[in-house]
Amino acid sequence: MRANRTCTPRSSCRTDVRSVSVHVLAMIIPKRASVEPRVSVNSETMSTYSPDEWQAMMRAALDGDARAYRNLLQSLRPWLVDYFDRRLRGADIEDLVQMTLMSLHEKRHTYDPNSPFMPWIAAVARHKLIDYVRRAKRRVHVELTEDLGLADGLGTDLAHRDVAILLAQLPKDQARCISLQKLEGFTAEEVAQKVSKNTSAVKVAIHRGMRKLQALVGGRSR
Amino acid sequence: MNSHLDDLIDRLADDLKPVRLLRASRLWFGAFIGLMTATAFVFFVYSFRPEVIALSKGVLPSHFTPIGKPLLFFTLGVTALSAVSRLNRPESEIKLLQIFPIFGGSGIAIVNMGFQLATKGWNASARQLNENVLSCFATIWVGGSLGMFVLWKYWLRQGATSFPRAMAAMSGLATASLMASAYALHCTMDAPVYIVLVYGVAVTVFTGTVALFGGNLLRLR
Repeated sequence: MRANRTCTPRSSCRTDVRSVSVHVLAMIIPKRASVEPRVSVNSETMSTYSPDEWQAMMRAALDGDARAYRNLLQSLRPWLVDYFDRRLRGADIEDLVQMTLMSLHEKRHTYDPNSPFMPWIAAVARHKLIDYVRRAKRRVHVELTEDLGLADGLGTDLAHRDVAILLAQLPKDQARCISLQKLEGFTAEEVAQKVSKNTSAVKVAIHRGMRKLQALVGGRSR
Repeated sequence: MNSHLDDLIDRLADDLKPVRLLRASRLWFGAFIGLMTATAFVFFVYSFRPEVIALSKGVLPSHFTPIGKPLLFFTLGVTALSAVSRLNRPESEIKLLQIFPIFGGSGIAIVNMGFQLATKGWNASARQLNENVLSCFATIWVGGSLGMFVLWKYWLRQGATSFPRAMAAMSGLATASLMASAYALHCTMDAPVYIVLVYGVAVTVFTGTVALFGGNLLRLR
């Protein structure tokens, strides 16, 4: 059994976070961030994640073990709070956690007991997040940080998948510019060199891409 | 916050019952039954083409199309169905390679049509588009729609896909293609231009329609 890891939302991320307010929901992690999850302790908002234990509890819950299920939901709660809090500043986290737990309950039969639990619960939580952004139709704070995703114990592949899902909905040139600047950390000038365009065209492509992402997730365009 | 969530967790735990897990085997079994039903329908309503009847007696056809045409749509249907079975969980996704047979099969059909048009010209090829077009379209659409209804009732609505539009498109492609493969056992129109412009268009339009209207229905809520 893997040892429990303890991590906190927003804690160590603060040092190098590039924080922007835009209308889009973006769960973004640089492709170059092949680092271990940063672990730190904050006694007030500490959450733990233990995928192996959760998987065992979920398996038992699928067989009708109410005690294991209660334990699972209780231990998922702080993780979900952190998950949403890390992505949406000022959002109604309680509602989101409630909706996710209800969705988990209703869709628990779609969990494959032989598969890892984290990707499944992360996908359910992500859907609730997207639904929230669609319904909220207001400014959503987006943090572009190297630790987002990793801090949730999700691993780079899942974080990249979140990004890929969003970027796949954009024209290729816009997606590439956003990817290079927002994910890989290149400046607009460097991106311009890489895509053989001038800097203004790159800035316009990124601006339009971000606006389109916002429209795709249901927010208003400026 | 704590009390609301505690109440909710208590309620959900108290409400817990063992669940019947989503199993792809049920989808494949249902698809097999559906294909057999569609084949029986084609046999009793239209009858099989002579080469297929001869094949059942062990006589191979003189050319490949009587087998190749049903096989093409069967391949498309099974590949699409495989995508449907993969996509029905929140964390699932499909890779392009996994649906390559769809592009490969379509590509072969389109290249064949191009070859026919290049050698015979449009006018001669277009004359091969006059027979049974309505019957082909209607069978694929009605059969595909019935298949979609059954698929929705017993599989799609129980799932939780992260890719609702792709899931809808693959579902439409699966049901329409499998119906087309059953109908191809009857149809004697073997010209590549007919396969692409009648079968292909019927399946494509059906797939597009399902993708257009089905995407929202399949969104995980």
